[in-house]
Amino acid sequence: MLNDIWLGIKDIWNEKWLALCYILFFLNMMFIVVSTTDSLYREKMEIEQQKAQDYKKFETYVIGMQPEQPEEFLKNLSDIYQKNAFSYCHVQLQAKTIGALDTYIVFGDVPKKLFEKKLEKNVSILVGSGLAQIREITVNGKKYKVDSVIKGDTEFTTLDNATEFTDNKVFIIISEPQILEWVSPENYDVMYQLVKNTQILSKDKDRETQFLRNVNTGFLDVKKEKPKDTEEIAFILKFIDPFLVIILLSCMLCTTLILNGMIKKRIREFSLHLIHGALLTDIFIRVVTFFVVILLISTGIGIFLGIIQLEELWFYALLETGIILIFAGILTPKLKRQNYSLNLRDGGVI
Amino acid sequence: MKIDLNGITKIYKSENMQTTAVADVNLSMAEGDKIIIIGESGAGKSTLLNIIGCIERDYEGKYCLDGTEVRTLKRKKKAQIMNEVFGFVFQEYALVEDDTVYENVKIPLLYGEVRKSDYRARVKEVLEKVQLEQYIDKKVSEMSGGQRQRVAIARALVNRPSIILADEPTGALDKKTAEEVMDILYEYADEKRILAIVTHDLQRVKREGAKVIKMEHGKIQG
Repeated sequence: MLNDIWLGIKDIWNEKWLALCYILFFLNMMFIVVSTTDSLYREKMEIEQQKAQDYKKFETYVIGMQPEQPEEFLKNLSDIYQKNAFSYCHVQLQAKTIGALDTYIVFGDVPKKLFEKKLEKNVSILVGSGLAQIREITVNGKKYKVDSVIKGDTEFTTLDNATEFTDNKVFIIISEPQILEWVSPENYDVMYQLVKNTQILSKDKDRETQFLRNVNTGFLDVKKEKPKDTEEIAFILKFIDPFLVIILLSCMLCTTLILNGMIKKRIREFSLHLIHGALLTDIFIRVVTFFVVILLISTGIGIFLGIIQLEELWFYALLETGIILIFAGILTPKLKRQNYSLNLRDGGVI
Repeated sequence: MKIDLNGITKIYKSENMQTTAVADVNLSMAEGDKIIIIGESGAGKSTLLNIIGCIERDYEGKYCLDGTEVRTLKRKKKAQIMNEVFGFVFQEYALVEDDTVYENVKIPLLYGEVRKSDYRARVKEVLEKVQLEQYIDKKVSEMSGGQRQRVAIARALVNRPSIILADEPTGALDKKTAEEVMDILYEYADEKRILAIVTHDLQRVKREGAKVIKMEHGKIQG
């Protein structure tokens, strides 16, 4: 068996150009498959997530310089966030020793799934693991003790579709908000952020209506977020699975064609070995080694170049096993039918 | 080692026609026998040789090797016999052009009982017999026709087989080289082994004590 494996590796050297072509083909194919399916699946997941979400989001556009009555505007928002709704804004807090701190101020009735830690106080301060040394923070001249250090990411990071790490971030969560105590009525950017990041529980229609009425002033134009699955995307997504299957099948077919060429070229040598005592199993191991080594090299390069992610290896293992099995299924009966002595005379025809 | 062929017939079938390559051949060979099979092209000489060497499958009749019917042998046993009992020499050398002399000659050793560490010594030993020991690492594509045929003979002999089957071993060689090649084969075969040669050119391959069989239309004449 070791001899067969060694001969398989030697075949790669003898067929180095074919092997190289195949590696390039495989990487190209994988690149296309991975990038296409990855983006399409993300799209699909996003749509499904959107459909499944309990909370409604809003599209917000700035149409004016400032709200007519900023204080009233913030007061109305405070009322909205008392129950079944929340929002957040992103600000920089200045710390004496470590400079600016990325801070999220979250107002309202925050869903439990967003933060693992139970939030019981009106104002809770959470910090990322990179800021574990901070014991208290001062906001608007008032000191607040840090309640908890977040270990790992929280669901919060996905709120605005930004998969940011929470390591160096501060979260101030205010459950019964009086926004005016925290935000200056002149800070229009924060007002815009709060409206843009508002989420309201889907079943609370009254709150949604109230919110839209309050915020649609000369300052902002706010609409309910449109569902993403327009007809075009829905059409593409409907066929993503068959598309993936077709891509994989063509990958297998091309592999079979390319490597069939290799077998044709080496059939004379295989016949010679069979005449001198090799079993079909020996030839099979040799050819499979040829395949496996090339596929391993391709996969290795794919991982090195970042085309293939380690967590996707199972997929490639499955694909490569499929390719090998298909090819083995074609090769074995072909070899059985061969007239070995004729192959030695004519150079071999398979 | 003894070979017994009884009523061996081989018919090649294609979509439109059937060709009888070997028809009802009866033949026996024992240790020390040297048999030369002659005949026109298409007379069935090579097919008969291939049946003896277990290369050809699907024939009719009974072929016994040392009393055991070959047809009943399992695939693995048959491969073992092809490896240990037979040494094959082909007209067109049948060498792997990309490989060296060593790589070519060691092919039968890959599937036998010889230890890997002994491969080189065994190959050297047999190359000495065919006077090619200095070319052990040379690519066969860089060698002359005569040298290539000697490499093919070395490959046939490396496993010390008891039956040598040579199909037109001198077909592509000049007179002098052909004689040298035949000397090597006869010397190896001596009195203990069977040598079966298929040829067009009786004069070049005939030696004292060799029995000549003529084939015509798949049958042994006379």
